[in-house]
Amino acid sequence: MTGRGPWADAWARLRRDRGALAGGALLAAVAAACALGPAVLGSDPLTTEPAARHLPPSSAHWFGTDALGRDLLARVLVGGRTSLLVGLAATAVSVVVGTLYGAAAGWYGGRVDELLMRIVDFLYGVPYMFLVILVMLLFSDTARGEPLPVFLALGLVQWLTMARIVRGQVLALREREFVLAARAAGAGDLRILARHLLPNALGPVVVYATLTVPGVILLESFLSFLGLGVALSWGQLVAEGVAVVNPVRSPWWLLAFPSAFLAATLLALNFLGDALRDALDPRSVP
Amino acid sequence: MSGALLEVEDLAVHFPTPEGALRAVDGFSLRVEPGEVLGLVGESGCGKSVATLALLDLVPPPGRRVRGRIAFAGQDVTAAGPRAFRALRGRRIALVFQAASASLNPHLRVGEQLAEAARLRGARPREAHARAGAVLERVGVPPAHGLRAFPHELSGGQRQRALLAMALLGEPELLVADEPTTALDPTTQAQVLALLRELQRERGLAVLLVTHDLAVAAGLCQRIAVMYAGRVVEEAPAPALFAAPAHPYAAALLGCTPPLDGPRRARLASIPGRPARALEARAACAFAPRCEHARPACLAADPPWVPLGPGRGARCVVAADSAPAASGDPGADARRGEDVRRG
Amino acid sequence: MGDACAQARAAAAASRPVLSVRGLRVAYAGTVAVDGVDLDLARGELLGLVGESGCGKSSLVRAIAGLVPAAGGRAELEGVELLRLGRRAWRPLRRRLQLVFQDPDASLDPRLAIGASVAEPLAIHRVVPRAARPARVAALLAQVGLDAAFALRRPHELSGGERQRVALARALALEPDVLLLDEPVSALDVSVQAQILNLLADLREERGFAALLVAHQLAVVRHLADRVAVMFAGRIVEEAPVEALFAAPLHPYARALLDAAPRPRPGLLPAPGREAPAAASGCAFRLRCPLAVARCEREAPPLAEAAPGRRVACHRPGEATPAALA
Repeated sequence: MTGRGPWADAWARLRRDRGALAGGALLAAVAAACALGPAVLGSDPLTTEPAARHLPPSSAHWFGTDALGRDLLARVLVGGRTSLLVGLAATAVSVVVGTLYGAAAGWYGGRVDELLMRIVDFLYGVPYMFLVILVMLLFSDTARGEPLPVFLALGLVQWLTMARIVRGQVLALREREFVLAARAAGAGDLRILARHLLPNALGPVVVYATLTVPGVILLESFLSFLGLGVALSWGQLVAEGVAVVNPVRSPWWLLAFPSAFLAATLLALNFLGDALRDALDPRSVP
Repeated sequence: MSGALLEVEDLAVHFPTPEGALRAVDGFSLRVEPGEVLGLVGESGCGKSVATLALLDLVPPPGRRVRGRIAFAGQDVTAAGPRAFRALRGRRIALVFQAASASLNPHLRVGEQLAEAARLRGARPREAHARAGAVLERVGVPPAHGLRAFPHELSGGQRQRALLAMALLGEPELLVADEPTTALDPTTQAQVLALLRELQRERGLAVLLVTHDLAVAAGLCQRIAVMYAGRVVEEAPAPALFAAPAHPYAAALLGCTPPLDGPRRARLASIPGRPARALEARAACAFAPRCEHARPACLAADPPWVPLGPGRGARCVVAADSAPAASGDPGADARRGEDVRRG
Repeated sequence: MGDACAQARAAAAASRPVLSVRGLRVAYAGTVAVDGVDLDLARGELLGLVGESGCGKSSLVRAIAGLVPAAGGRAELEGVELLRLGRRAWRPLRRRLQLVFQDPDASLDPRLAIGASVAEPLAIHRVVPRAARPARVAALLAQVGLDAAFALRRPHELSGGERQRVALARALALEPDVLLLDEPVSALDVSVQAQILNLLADLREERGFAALLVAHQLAVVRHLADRVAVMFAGRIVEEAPVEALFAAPLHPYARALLDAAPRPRPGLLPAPGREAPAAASGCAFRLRCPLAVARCEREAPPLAEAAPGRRVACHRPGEATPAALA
């Protein structure tokens, strides 16, 4: 048997999982469409055309137009860029902050751990909307509707759980014999953390991160719904779609397409996350 | 056949894997007489635990029994079906595992678990508690402490005894103990073994002791069966096995054990290579690749069972050379015939 | 003149124990795991340490290696006091004292290739330049009987015996003078155990390191050790050359251990001993001891010399004969 590391092993298992394949393919398709679509199709999300308002889907406008005559397809695709970026960026923030914080708490233990975790507990109690609004207000003069404050705020909420996960992993791994062996060989704290603890703790982190992305996208959508989100995102579009009275007889496309994209993306991410969790679990049947 | 308590013939249990069927148990035959202590000795991976589970049809899926006949007290249980197995479990055949495993519910007091076991075997609720106390006392755990304690409050030895107590509630005729002493300290181990011996004597209980430790088996068992790669490769009365093992694997196992008495040896005999895992049907002796006595005949075909005397036999071509010559004694022929039929 | 002095110094150094422990105490959250242990390990000697689980042998080993804090006492490695050293001061000493753990599953990082695990001590101490490390790793693996190709594999692809060999290779990478082995074969099958024991004997012969071997199987200790110490409830209760101990143990607990060890004598089982906890006052063994008298409750017996090279902590040493105990 050739040497196949646990990551390669997990990758092989992931490739065999149908949920992962379907989710991955869907995600890739959506991302490609959002990234390249507008350029390829030459459509513009911002041009308003009052004469063309609330047109149903047609060959000229595949997804129809909105209240200001803007092409919905272009808006969905460009909005997707925002939503996906926000999801990834906020998750990245939460992973980095959470991992460092949790690793510190788990490694040092004792008073340090208690203090750090009390802070986490406290922050958990603060309603995230409050935090987000606070952060938004801090940036209110620079720009409203800019992505940066939103994903900072979202990331700042998500890191709490990440920190707890990493702390738990580090605590459990700290006493394992291979860590003791490294200490017995003379390894310093940093080496042990970087080379032994974190790589072994990453499994749950990766899984949770994959499942955080849809959570963040949804949160952002919710914020947009309330008018606090980024200018053009799926959530914003859904909000616009719902605002139209009686979307069933009126422009249903304004609600349908953004929602469909949002739902599909979230579903794909969830499939991936589940499959990743199974693939990374060394005890599951190959 | 004679009135053997448990008879297993040609049992095979396979587990499907991506690389083919894993033959965990492959042609396993065994016989336990009423009231005797038989040791089943083998290293990890030889299939002994799967074999013991198969005795009560408890092999976890995807594993399944693919052939073989199991008879208990004359009744063919395999033919009779799942209901017959269920009737045996916990009643006439009791299965006991290592105390370290999850055999005891950590959230329930030991007394409650014993009482529940008693009720499942027909005791009325009032009686159940009393019987639990009585059986705990019999195994040497003070009921005052034992009944009220949670499993983690008992020592390792006491937990093992509690498991034995639970097994005894059904008044079994056969006790199958799978590695009952492995996780225990030497002195506790001796106590548990002594307890098994006492129970065997006073209740006429037959015991099938499954272990990887030859020395443990030697201390308690009258006969020993050595298992390798899914089947029994040698069977003999304990003194005979230790004095002169016939199968090279049994001999090698003995040679591997550092002696406690007698002169110290400079080097221990060791068996090169890794234990065999049977993935294809057998065309040769499973131990041949690691055997220092291997000959071409060993690799040509699956070696037959060779009787080597009363109650003795080995599945080995090399051992056949030392088999006793045919005598004119009809009794010997009948015994030998019995042994051959078991192969 | 200078030569003679140097020679005398060398002789003195050679006879001085390479590891010397006095009054070592280890306590966790109120329970005392090691309660005042004295022992000496001579250069190149293998001292076996036996006792039941919970007697403190693992804690003793980990405290000596600086992995667990000691509550008191001294431990000297070739004259250097170990117990109160900080992490930094320990580093150079790691090259002289190494550890092998019991569970071959847990002692190797599952994410690292074998070669990386074995090379780690070399990397930490910069013993060998990076380019030369693979060759060195291959040599170490060969020494423990593993093919160089093993360096690319991961722990989960190896059997228990192979993993334990890797652990040995890693421990020997820095060429230590002292090796502490905490139940190195307990988790292994008999045939694999034999392979590892032979390997240990060979390595000792080639490398000449001293070793402290902790085990609960007496047979294993008897096979490898030069001297044996028996531990009960955190204290050493008997210490003797291996043959002397096995021929005639002086302490009742040592006797009980020896009698309890399973051996091929079918039909003969010792009378079950009394199951009782360690006593908190006087001799810790007195609640289980068939020879206990009033004095045992009043005073804890010190570990004292009973014969040249033999020490026992018992008020009635040598009286625990099979006849007396029957």
